[in-house]
Amino acid sequence: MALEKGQSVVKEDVWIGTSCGQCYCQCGVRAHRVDGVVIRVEGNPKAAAGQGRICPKGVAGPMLLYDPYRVNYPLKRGNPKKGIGVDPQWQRISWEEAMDTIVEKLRETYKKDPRACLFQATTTQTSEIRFAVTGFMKAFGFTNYWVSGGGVHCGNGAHFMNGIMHAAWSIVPDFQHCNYVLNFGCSKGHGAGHVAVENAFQAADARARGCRTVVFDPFLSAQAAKGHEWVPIRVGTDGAAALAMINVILNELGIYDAEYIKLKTNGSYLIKPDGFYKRDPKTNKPMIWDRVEGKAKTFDDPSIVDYELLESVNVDGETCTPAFRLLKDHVKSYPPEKAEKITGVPASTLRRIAKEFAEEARIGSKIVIDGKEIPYRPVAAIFFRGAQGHVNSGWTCLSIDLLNHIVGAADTVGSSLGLGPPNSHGYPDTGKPNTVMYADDDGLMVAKGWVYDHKAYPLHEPKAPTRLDLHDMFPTSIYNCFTICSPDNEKLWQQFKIPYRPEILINFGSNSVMTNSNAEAITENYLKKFKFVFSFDIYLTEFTDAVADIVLPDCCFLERYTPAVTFPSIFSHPQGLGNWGWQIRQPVIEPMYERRDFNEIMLELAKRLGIADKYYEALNAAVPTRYGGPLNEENKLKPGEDYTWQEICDRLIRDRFGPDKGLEYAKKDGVITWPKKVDEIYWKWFLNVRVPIYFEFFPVGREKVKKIAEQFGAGDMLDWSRLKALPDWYPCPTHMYDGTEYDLYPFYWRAVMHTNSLTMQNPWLDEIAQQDPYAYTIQIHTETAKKKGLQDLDWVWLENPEGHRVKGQVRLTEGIEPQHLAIAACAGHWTPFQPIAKGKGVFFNDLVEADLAHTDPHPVHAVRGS
Amino acid sequence: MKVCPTQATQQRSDGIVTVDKDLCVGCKYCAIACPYGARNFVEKWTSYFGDDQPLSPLEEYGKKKWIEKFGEGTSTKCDFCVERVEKGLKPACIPGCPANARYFGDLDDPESEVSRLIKTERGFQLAPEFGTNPRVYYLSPR
Repeated sequence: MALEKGQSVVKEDVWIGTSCGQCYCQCGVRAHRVDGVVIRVEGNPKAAAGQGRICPKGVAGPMLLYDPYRVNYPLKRGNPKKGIGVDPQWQRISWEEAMDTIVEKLRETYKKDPRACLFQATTTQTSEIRFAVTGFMKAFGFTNYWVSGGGVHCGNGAHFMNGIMHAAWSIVPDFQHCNYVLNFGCSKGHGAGHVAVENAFQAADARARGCRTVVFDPFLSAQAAKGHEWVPIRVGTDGAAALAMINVILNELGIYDAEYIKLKTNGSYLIKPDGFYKRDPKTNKPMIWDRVEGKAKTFDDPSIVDYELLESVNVDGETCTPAFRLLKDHVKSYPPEKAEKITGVPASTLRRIAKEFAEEARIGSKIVIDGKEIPYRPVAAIFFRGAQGHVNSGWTCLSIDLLNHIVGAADTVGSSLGLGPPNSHGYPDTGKPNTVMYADDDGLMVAKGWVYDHKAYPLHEPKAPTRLDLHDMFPTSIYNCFTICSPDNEKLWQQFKIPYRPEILINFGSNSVMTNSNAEAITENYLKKFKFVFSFDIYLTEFTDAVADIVLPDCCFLERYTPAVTFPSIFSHPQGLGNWGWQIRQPVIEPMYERRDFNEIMLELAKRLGIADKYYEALNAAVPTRYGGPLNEENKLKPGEDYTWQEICDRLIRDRFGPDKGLEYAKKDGVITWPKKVDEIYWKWFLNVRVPIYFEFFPVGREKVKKIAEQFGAGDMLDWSRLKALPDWYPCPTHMYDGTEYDLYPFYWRAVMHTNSLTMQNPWLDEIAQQDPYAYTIQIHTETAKKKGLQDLDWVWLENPEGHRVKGQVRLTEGIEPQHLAIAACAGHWTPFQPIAKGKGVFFNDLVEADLAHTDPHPVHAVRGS
Repeated sequence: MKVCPTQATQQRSDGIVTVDKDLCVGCKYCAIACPYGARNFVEKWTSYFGDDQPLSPLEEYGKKKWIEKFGEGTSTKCDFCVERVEKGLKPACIPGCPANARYFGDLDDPESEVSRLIKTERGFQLAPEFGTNPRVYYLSPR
């Protein structure tokens, strides 16, 4: 090749397969490195996650890698004062000094009471959390854990209910076969949410194929704009709309999938007048009524001819009613006219959409795929943030999902599918990762480890609390934040006799000052109570500035090893037919400056504290549930050994794929793939498991938690009555405000170019956010603005009844229900150490109250206000 | 093309309009004349993190590539990534779109995918009244 003058010779030109880490979707990517400089990140065509496509966040990865504002050296706080607005006076220190200080502090607490530690992590780097956090917590001996996404950004109620109903983290339509999607406040298939890129592709194809999309949302979201119908709805009322539509389908149209309800749910189980199952005295199994033989039998009796679903029967002198009949009668209290008053959606619209949905479900139809005849139900009711980001989120999500279950449209062809899928038979050579759901003694589905902390059923056994967030006592809790951020937390700790107080907070990448709720409240009421805070970060954040004592310069996702990124399969795999892909992360460049990987440092800390063996033991113990199947003896981490992080990565990969397929093998493409099977994806009719449509176990949990609360004199701390067997809609505190001064409902939505609070510092992403009229502004209806005398781009203060306020610029639009204000992303940074992010957008979370009054009494998690 | 005083703007035989950075004098006539707002005048390549920060290796690389292709003080426009097209690749936005919403091909070939889509999906050009016959077509919503 002839060289032009001034052109240099390229010495190195390589592509490296790895995984994106700009959000939790973790698409497969490949990085292009030329002469030691990473110049481009693009999709890895070999990866199942993305299949060669990535979003702008992924493309912008190199800007994060080379950002001059990254933390490059260990820092210590020079100013002993902590709090928001305090100058931390960061001073550069050596790694040696940082590690010595941390080890000394950890030693002191280890001797005093190891339980007094808390690990706080970020959802953006979920695959990293699973090693160091798990290993260190168990080895050191503490259970206090908090994930920052668990604040306003998280889906506690959604994940919990999806765990019970689909053994999965999330649900997504089977875009490949679905004909009618009902969406409640989510953007699945439209740029945001789980499997974002692949879903966008699948949803676009579905749309071209003629799949109808109906979107319930207070504003004209990207999805609503692309949908066939936008149904504006009052924020926080989706549950009422769903229950009314179930009522229409069951009681006005009389449509339901009887076969599904009999064989795949507990709808036939007999319920006694006290609300609990009628159980067989010999086996303790729930009983059903065989309508042909006219007698009660255990639910799994092979002699059952047909199940009674509708009529009450007399068994042993007690009137027992099939659970389905109770549900059917229960939803009669949601006539569409009543729902119209709650939701603002006309009763006629609810009736029409319910009819369209039920009819398109094509109950009774089947389809042949790959030689297997499978029930075909091409409808899906889907939800995420919008339905779940309010009080009563669990029941709201469940009410929406019940629309699927009454017509049999769950985990079969065309229907709502548990994302993952949660059912995996493993790599052909090894049979791992293997995870298959099974039935408990009551016949209900138990998910294995795939759903991680959100393993929802059976409920965990309530115990007298030992955690700072009292998590142990709430049977339906995933993460509690408001009990710990509440101004009364000291009172609660005394009342529940928590024997220690916060000592050390270890932070992995979370910016909880911004991602939880009101910043001042969480900082003053909680974070400042820790005596020593050390934090792994790529940027200095509002969290580090307010409370961190030492900041360690972490590697970013392009600089580290992670042995398993797309498993447990909760975020990354597109649904439907295609490939499984086990992705790893590998450095596409040696870490620059003094950046070091979080997992390597936590391993080193364990070694220096003398708890490495326990650390290994904890990792060994976590593998079978999280990564599908036990470790072979030779791959277990052995006590007394001095493993490097890469050796640990290698063992896990070799164990899952065979002795010759370890880390080096996985590094070739960054991914190992094999085909998904039809019965893994559409597992509903291939597995003998049922899901509940009557939640008998919630009242069982309620009685236990009430007893514990009463034991500590706190019987009235929450409204326990919401822990019950059938869903209801309850108003949020905001709906109950009866004054006139506060007249609008602000709500939060996810802008596709940003992830939580992480990406505003990325200049490329910031640039596209600035070109979006709504990413950094407050959307207000034109008429509402006119009444208030506001013009486009006017600056306003938004204030809540508690007196908290945030500032922002308004954008006038017709695309919002006039009572609402829409605010995007977790923006509004103020740290001087992120100058690109600083001052951009609106800090919505500052309006979210963190106290018991705004705590969700149930279901499902004692967390979250509205 | 008409307003360009130096003939920096040229149309290739395949229809792609390019700007020769060495001929462009930065008069911006084209930016004013373009009915589509497709022209951008770039006075100087600027860093992403402010002048007080040294350029990162990525920015150094990007700057070099930018100046090689577009120069400074010149007018720029989409040229369908002509350097990729010459290598037989498609413009970067085609594989970059997650939903495969974009297509690239030969309009002169009536059998090509783009020609077929324009026919079957009711393709249209923006602002045809200007008579520019742009080579970008939009497909009607389905």
